[in-house]
Order: sequence, then structure tokens, then C-alpha cells
Amino acid sequence: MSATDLAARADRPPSEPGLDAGAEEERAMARLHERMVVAVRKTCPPTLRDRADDLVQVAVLRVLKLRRERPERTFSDGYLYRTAYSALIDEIRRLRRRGEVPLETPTDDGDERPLVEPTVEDADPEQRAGARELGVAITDCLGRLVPDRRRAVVLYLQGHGVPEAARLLRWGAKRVQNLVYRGLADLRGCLEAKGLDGGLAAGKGATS
Amino acid sequence: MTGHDLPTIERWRRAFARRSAVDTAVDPATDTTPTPVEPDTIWRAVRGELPAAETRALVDRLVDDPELAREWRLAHELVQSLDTTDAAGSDDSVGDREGTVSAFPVAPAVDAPRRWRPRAMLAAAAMLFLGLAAFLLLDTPEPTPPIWRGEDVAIESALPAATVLPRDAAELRWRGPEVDDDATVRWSVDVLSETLEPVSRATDLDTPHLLLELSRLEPFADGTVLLWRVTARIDTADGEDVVRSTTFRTTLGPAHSASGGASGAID
Repeated sequence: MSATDLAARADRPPSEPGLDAGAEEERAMARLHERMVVAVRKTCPPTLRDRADDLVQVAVLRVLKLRRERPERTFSDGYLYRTAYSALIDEIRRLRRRGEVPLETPTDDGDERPLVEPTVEDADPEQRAGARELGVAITDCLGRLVPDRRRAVVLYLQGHGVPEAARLLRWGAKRVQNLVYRGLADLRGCLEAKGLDGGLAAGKGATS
Repeated sequence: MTGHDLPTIERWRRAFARRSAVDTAVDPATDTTPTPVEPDTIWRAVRGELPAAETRALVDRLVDDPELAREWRLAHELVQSLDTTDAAGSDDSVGDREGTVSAFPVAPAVDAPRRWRPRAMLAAAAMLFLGLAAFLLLDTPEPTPPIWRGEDVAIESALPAATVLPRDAAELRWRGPEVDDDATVRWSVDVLSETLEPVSRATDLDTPHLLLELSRLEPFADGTVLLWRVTARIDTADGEDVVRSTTFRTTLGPAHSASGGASGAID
């Protein structure tokens, strides 16, 4: 089954009358493929994004193999996603070990695009250099935070909301909210002390 | 202090996300590549299925390991899309979770906006009510489910399993939760018999153990199952946090001299 086939099958309406188990499986795999491609394109550097279809195809094939080796067993979506994720990470790491993708994210030139969301400022190489400088500074400043504040802030920067971070860390939501709030204030102070005004590289001209 | 402006935080997020291994290596000549974390471990951490201590250890690594941080974000994206599937009726969901990042941060005194649907909130309230009822009305020898879901690993019993607690050395012991060095923890413990008769209650303990007085155990025969629960109040610079354990079960036995010595039984 090719990536194109999977994408086409993901578009079919759900629960068509008379749809057999095989067709249902194809739809489930197509949906999984589609979501994984979106996730790779959203979180990975360009060198990996450009190979998203191939990477995900390897992961989906592993899931298909698992299901076909044990047809008597019903796998939950959670299990299948976990299996696919493991296969995807294995494949990404394999590419890195073989040197097929660079460890370093392109910065000053080339086809660099932001990893999270595209913005106008990222079109400017100088801005990209500023962002890189900021990333290094953030790493250093995070290392200086009180451990619990650092954990809460790291999860927040990783995209977790406060309730979710509280659940992962097994702390109360109110406490995590305080930790994030104060941790971000500490981070801002540290960045300002480094000459990065409120998270903006001094002299880079970016404003919000 | 005013609230943090979202554009700045988004810029920090992007800068944090686009770090590379080269950016964080202190000295490429001597810096050792971090040992890769099993993808399954990352997945379970992001799903909230790892013990808290392991999750925190993994989060600690995210700062200096951009590749791990990227793999974590990839797992997070997939978990979010899986939760969308779960919401549509699939199984294997784990707990409640927010689909996207909230519009934080606001002043600490203000609750973050809730995105739960009313039915989900009703279901959560019903589960909480049933959990409390189970604690109050427990009359079977079956293990009690955790009353506060997700906090069962924060405080653990330190008593060895499958043994009997001698009544003349009936010391309850527990571990956790993990706190920073500058935090102080005070514990309280409630002990009931299996028929919900009060046995003992201690508050404001500064050490994680409680020796039950022999006189308080006299009304209860050997073999009585004691139910006990620990509450930790953690004072930090960031405010107070309250963590409650699940309900532990310990069988009361004869005095140490009569039994030849035994200790600790919980599940």
C-alpha cells in the first residue's frame, strides 16, 4: 500500500454500509498515516519533513505487520499509535546514525522554516540567527531555574498546557500554574540579563 | 508582576524547539552523546503513564537534549490526535487531557480556562463522588481503587508486602512525594478499621512514619484489616500543594513477641 493510496483512503467517509473489516483496517491505517505525517511536518526540521511520507510509511507498515501476524487479537488505537511512534523514532534515529540527515538545524541560510508555526520574522536570516541565539540562551537560563520551576516551564515550552503538565508531573494544577508563572518571570529576567530584551535578541529588530 | 505576553512566549517556544544538538553541546570534543531514551518510554511519559519520578527525570533531560525534546513533541502531537480519536469513541484513553496549550499565563490567583465539556465535568464529579463513597462505605476485602486518580504513585507505602503488622510495633511508613530541597512537607494520616471504625488520626507529622499506639489497637482483633491514607502538605516558595495517597490496607497481627516477629503488609 503506497502513501498515496493511504492518503486517498483516509478521505473516505466513515462507517460506510457494508464496509468489511479489511476496508476498516485500511481506513484506520490511512488515518494513522495522515496524522503522523502532520505530526512530523509540524515538529521535525526540514530535512525530516521532506521525508515525512517515507518515514511514516515505515511506521505504518510495522503496525500492519503487527496486526497481520496476530489477526485474532484486537489492538487498541493507543497501542497501535505507540507502536507506530516507536517505529517512526527508530527510523529517524537510523537516518541520523547513517548521516542521512544533519544533527544541526539549518539556520543562517537555506530552506529553513520554523519548526512550530511559520511567521514572517523567520523569513529573515538575521532573525533566524537571533532565534538561534535565543535558543542557546533559553537553554542556559532554564538550567539556572529552581528544579520544579524548570520542569513546569520546560513542559510549557514543549506545548503542554497547565492542566496537562500538572497531570504528567503529578502536582496540583494551582501549583503548576504558580511554577510556570514564576519560572517564566525568572526566564525573562535571565534573558534580559544576557541582553536579550524580553526574549528578543538585542539589536535584531524583532518586535511583537 | 504583569502577565507574560503570548507573542514573546511563542517566540521562546519556537527558539526552544529549533535548538539543535550542536547548540547545546558544551564542548563537541568531549561532550558525550546522551543515551537515547526508548521511544516507548517517551510515549508513556507523554501519555502520563510513567511513574512521576521517571517523568520528572525525563523532563530534566529535555533541557540539554534537543533531539529528545523533539521526539517528545512528536509524541505529544500524536497523543493529541489520538485523544481526538478517543473522544470519538475509541478505547485506551488515559485520563483527561487538554487538546491544545491554554492561553496561559495569567496571574496565579486566576484559574486557567477550562475546556472540559459539561458532560465530561459531570462524569468527573460522579467519579469523585463514587471514589469518596467507596472510601466511606468500604466493606469488602477487595482492594480499594485509588480515590484520587493519578496521585497513587506520588505517595507510596514503605511497608513490605504480604506480611502482618505486629500490634506492639505497628508502625506505618511511607515514601514521597518528591519535593525540592527548599520545600517542607507535613503529613497527616487517617487510619480506619475495615468496618470504618476510627483507629487513629495523626496530623502535622514531619517524618514519614506513624507508630500506632498499642492501646488504640486493643479493640481490634488480630487479622483486622486497617485502612490508612496519607495526606502531604508541601510548602514551597511557590505556594502550598496537597497530595493524597491512595488507600493502603494493612493486616493487624499479634504482638511482636507472640508472633515471633513480622512487619508490614499492604497492597
